Amino acid sequence: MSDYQELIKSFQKSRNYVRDFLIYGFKSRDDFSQKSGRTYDNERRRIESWLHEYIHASYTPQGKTVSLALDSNLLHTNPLYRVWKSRSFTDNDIMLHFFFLSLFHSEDTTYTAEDLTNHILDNYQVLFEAQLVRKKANEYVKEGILSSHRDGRRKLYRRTKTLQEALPTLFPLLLLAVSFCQLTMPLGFVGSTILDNQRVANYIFLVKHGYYGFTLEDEILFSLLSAIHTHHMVTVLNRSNRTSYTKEEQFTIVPYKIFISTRTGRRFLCGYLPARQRFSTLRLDQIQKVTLLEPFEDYLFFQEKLEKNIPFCFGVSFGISHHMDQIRLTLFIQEGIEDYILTRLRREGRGGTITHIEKNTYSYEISVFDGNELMPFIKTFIGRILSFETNNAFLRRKFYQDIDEMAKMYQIIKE
Amino acid sequence: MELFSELYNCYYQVVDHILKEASAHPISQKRIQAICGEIGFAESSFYILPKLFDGTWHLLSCDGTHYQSLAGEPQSLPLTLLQRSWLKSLLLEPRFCLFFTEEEQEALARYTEDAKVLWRPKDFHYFDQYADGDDYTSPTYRAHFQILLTAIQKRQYVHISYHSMKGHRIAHHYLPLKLEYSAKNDQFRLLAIPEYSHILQNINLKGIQTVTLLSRFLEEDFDFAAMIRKSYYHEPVRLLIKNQRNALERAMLHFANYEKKTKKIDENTWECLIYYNSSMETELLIEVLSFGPAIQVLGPASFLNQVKYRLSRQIKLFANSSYVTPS
Repeated sequence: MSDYQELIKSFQKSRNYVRDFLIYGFKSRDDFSQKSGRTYDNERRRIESWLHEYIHASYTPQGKTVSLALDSNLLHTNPLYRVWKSRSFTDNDIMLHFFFLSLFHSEDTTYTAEDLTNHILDNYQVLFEAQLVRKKANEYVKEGILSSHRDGRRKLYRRTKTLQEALPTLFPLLLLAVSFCQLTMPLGFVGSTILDNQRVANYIFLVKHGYYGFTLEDEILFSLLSAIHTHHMVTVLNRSNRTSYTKEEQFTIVPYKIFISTRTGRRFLCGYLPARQRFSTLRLDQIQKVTLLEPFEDYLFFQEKLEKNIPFCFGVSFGISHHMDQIRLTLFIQEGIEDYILTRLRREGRGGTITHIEKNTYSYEISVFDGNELMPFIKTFIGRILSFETNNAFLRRKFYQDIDEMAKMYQIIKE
Repeated sequence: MELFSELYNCYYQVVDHILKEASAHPISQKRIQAICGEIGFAESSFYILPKLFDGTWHLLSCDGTHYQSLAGEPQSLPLTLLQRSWLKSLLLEPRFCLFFTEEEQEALARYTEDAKVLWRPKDFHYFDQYADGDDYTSPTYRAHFQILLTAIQKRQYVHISYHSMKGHRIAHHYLPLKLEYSAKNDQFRLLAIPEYSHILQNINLKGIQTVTLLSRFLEEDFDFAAMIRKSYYHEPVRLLIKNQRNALERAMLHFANYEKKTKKIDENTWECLIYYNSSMETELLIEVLSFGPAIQVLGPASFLNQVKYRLSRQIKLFANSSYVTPS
């Protein structure tokens, strides 16, 4: 394992491994058959090191299995952000970083690249080429840590204001807000780095229904958001990992929105597929690569169309045919005693119509592109469903079959 | 702007902590090792320490036994453009604005003027979020949120009067401990313990009528994690997952927010143990039912009986075409 390093150059490779450990948590060395055993060992060792506080290892007849035990009731940050903090760097990178921090002690101090090189040699006895120092200073200008301006032919670098300098009175409150937002807002990893820099940890906020794996897709999300804002088309390389097979496909898509499930944490790119002339969604965790293409001329036209279509998506599907699935659910709800069921219908029914039919009987009706997406929701009312009607014969059959199968499984009725 | 950048690297954090301490006073090798252990990854010390000690990273000087920072005390790093862009995006989010007055929001807007937003709320569609989320713009709600924030920071008791989920009006003295946000419910809940009790309660912020600070503070330490762990039932829910209709992956994602253990039984079947407490029970039950026959509950008996009760009630309802209340 002489080539093993704790830090990595590219996020993509480790992303799929971490996801598998997090989501499945039971895969052994043999289950990762796509890569060599050596690769598995290195990735596992790295993940165990990054996330050691959350790793649970067990030994089964299939071998050692590693899983991530995350209890969202107790987490003040997303442990998977640590994966983002594993980018490798050179010896020069880290030295120049701390020499810069020391030399730019005040926001008024300015240096040319040559000044910086000389000061580093005088103060710290390390000789760098001025060109290397200039390159690093320019990188820091790009990152927003330094700014640069011209004084005649000289290019002067200056440090930008720190948070404390820029917002001295607001600073403590801002860190509190960041403590909350790093857990709950898009690209929360960025917020966690602000807390790292200020050596502050969240101790106030928790999330219920916290799904932490989503951060592994943040690089993909970052590229897609940028394309959405500039109305560009993109090509995405999609890899679907069904248990039985893996399929890679490339799509050219006009990105419009990110659909998010608050119940699974799953995120989807919603966009228009010009080749198929329809809207579609792709899971972000299956997107391996995003390539920016040219701007899409009809962006606003299709955006308007999408907004009109969204109310008919119960989840993320735009259906496979032009016909709509009409669903009607009749429920037994004891009035005055079980009104919370009505509240659930209103709150979770995504715009469906609720009608009082007779005493203790209510109907819920909705018209959607893909009725199949309602099935899990409908099954949550098991125990009070009087009837399930739909114009989709397949769904109707499937619903009653499922109930029958469950009743047999729990021996409510005989096989 | 890069998300995956060495600027956010954990090693930089470790070295930053070491230099800060070593600039205040000389520190021992053992102490440097301890900082590595606290801040770094599990194996970071194997990589960081040799480079620091042999001078490859020429950042420390050694007097034989102790180390001092060569670069003085590291200054705070200014926010990167990425970090400022993230803050700028937050200004469009009502939940972020809960923390600030309008003037404070304006000051933040000026600070992030040169940055580009990374996202706008309209870029996202939370398709299964509840329709009755909290009103983050309500002045009363904002005032309650800020009082509770103060109380948690100061460990200060408060008097709260609120409407419970069942519609009862309750008034009591509480010690607020945490604020919990649920994206699914789009609401905040206060986790608090009533005075003279050790039983954790959840109070929806939306239901709070009044909240006032009291002049009493918690003096002793409090182990919140132990309290949560103690609340879990001894026996986890035991599920058998059959991998039909991609149920395995769906279940693993769906239950990812619970502490769980999964093992493979055979080619097509997995067993999953989920740890839960009484406040999660109904929600978990409903979630399990939503998977239909793809998931079978094996135990514990109390949980299994609830599944069976709902199913037998369902079978009776189907059998009775006149919609009569099942017994």
